[in-house]
Amino acid sequence: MKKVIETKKVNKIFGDGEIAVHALNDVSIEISEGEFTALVGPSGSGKTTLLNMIGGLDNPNSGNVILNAQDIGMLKKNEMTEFRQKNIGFVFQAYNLIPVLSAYENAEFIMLLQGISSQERKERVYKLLEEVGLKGKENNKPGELSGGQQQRVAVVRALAAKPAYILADEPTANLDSTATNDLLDLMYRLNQEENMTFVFATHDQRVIDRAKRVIYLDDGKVVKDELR
Amino acid sequence: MKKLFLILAWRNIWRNKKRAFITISSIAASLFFVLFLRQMQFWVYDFNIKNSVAATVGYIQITDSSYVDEKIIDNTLSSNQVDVEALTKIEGVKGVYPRFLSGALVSTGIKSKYAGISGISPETDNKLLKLDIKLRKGTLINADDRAIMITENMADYYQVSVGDSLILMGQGYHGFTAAGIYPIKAILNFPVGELSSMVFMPIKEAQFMHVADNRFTHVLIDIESNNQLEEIYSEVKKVSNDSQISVRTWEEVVPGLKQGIDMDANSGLIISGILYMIVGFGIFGTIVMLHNERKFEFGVLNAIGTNRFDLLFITLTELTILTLIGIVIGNLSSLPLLYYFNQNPIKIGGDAAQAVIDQGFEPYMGTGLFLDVFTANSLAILAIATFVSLYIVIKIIRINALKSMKK
Repeated sequence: MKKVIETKKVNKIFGDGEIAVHALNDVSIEISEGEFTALVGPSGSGKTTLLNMIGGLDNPNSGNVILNAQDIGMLKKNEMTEFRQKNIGFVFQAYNLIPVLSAYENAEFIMLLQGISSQERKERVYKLLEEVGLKGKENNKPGELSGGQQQRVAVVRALAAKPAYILADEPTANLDSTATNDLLDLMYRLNQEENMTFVFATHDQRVIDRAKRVIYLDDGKVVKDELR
Repeated sequence: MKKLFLILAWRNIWRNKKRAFITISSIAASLFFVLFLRQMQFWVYDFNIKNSVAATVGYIQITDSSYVDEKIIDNTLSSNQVDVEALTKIEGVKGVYPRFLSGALVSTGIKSKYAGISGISPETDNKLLKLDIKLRKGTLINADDRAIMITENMADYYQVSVGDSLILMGQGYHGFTAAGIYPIKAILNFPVGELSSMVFMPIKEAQFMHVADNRFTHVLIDIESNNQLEEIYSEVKKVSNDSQISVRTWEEVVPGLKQGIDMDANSGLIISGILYMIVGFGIFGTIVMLHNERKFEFGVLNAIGTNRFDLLFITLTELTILTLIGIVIGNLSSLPLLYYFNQNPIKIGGDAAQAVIDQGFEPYMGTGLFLDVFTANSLAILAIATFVSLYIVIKIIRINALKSMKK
């Protein structure tokens, strides 16, 4: 299977001198297309830092991050932003929708940046919103939606642009059991049907249970890589 | 894409309605006061230039070049040196007024005093000097009259009225004596300036008295607006292309007045500057709050692929719309008051009036409706908003999505 994510001896140190924290220590992983992977570990283990590296939001002190055969360390700031826009879908813990835009407008935002036509945007967004059970809520602002509904809009925003992979940082942390299960069902289905690659940084056992691969991190090192 | 950005910018304005209201109000209120102040200042200048300068020295003045340094009758112009008809045809010229200006000892009984003598063409000069409005007693002189008109100040001094006579005695052309006894036909109201102690007589009579037939001391050119001064001045220079002739604007003829206006205008600029600073800090406060509130959101938008220039477009559009709303409200709200005082200038009374008269101005206060004052001050506020927006420009240019998303 095609490798879409690769890290080679990635190191990340926060601070310097005596207070320096080695957040990632020679981390090398490979993730292939269509994987449903969870990065797991206790707080401070480095899972979010690794997810940020993979998402091009942070740079390693040493080592390489290669996404779709492109070493992203070579990209300039604007090129990296464009790369994220075209290749990566983010789902954050706090949903992070734009409060003044409706569910539909939030969902189509990245596609607009990509210059996708109005007709295509409309078709894709309406279809996805219907799939995630938000039909009829298209014109609702985030403040008028529940946490679970907002997170589903955030997922639609990430998915609608058809990224190479989805990175999700604690996506279920603020959701109740029902919303969590609905969201995981949706992601799992997309993974199965569309062969979309998912990488989660999570504590949530429900997410870990559904993952096909679990990478355990501790003190910035990969301690276990479990394929299920 | 830009359409959604515009929608986003517009909706962002109203995310914090209270803040938007305060920012718009501070811009509108400051602009209102600045406009009122500046329109009042420029109205006073314009009013005085029109009523005083234009009538005495003219917007543009043509003299014999030797008259510039030595204002004596011997340095007058011959009527064939000036092509009055050609000057009248220049676009923007309202009128061309040959004048014969001199001075004489004016006396009656035991009272005598030096006064200016102004030889005018009563019919045409009526337009410039508004003689029919200024008339307080008697009737206006005609071109062929052998009579004079004096001001109320002079009538009070000499204790004379219409029908009484005054003796004028001065020096004429090439050493001749200029003397005559003239009946007073009218008393006029010119309370301030050079005209307040002036004797008016028909130009033909003034030339006759000074033994200077067909000679003028100067030719005044009245124009539509002071804004056209430079342009018309160039045209007049072309028509009067003779080294013996001097063409000067009122700014050159009475540089003191020009300096006075400039100084007064600068003082107004300082007050405007203070108001602009208030506006600037108001907008800056809004920008700082806006950035702090949306730092996280900027980070998210950047993380999901919105580049810095699009973020700048959204934010600067929001700030520009906010500023423009304030500017439009400031301009519109000032209009009724400016229009009212434009149509109904206030006559100042008491000590304040004397203070204004002492500065050489007429004691009237009104407001202008000068387009350039509206545009210049609106643009100034837009420029200030643009300048303080540099803060958010720098913040967005330097954005780090991850750091911005850290709460």
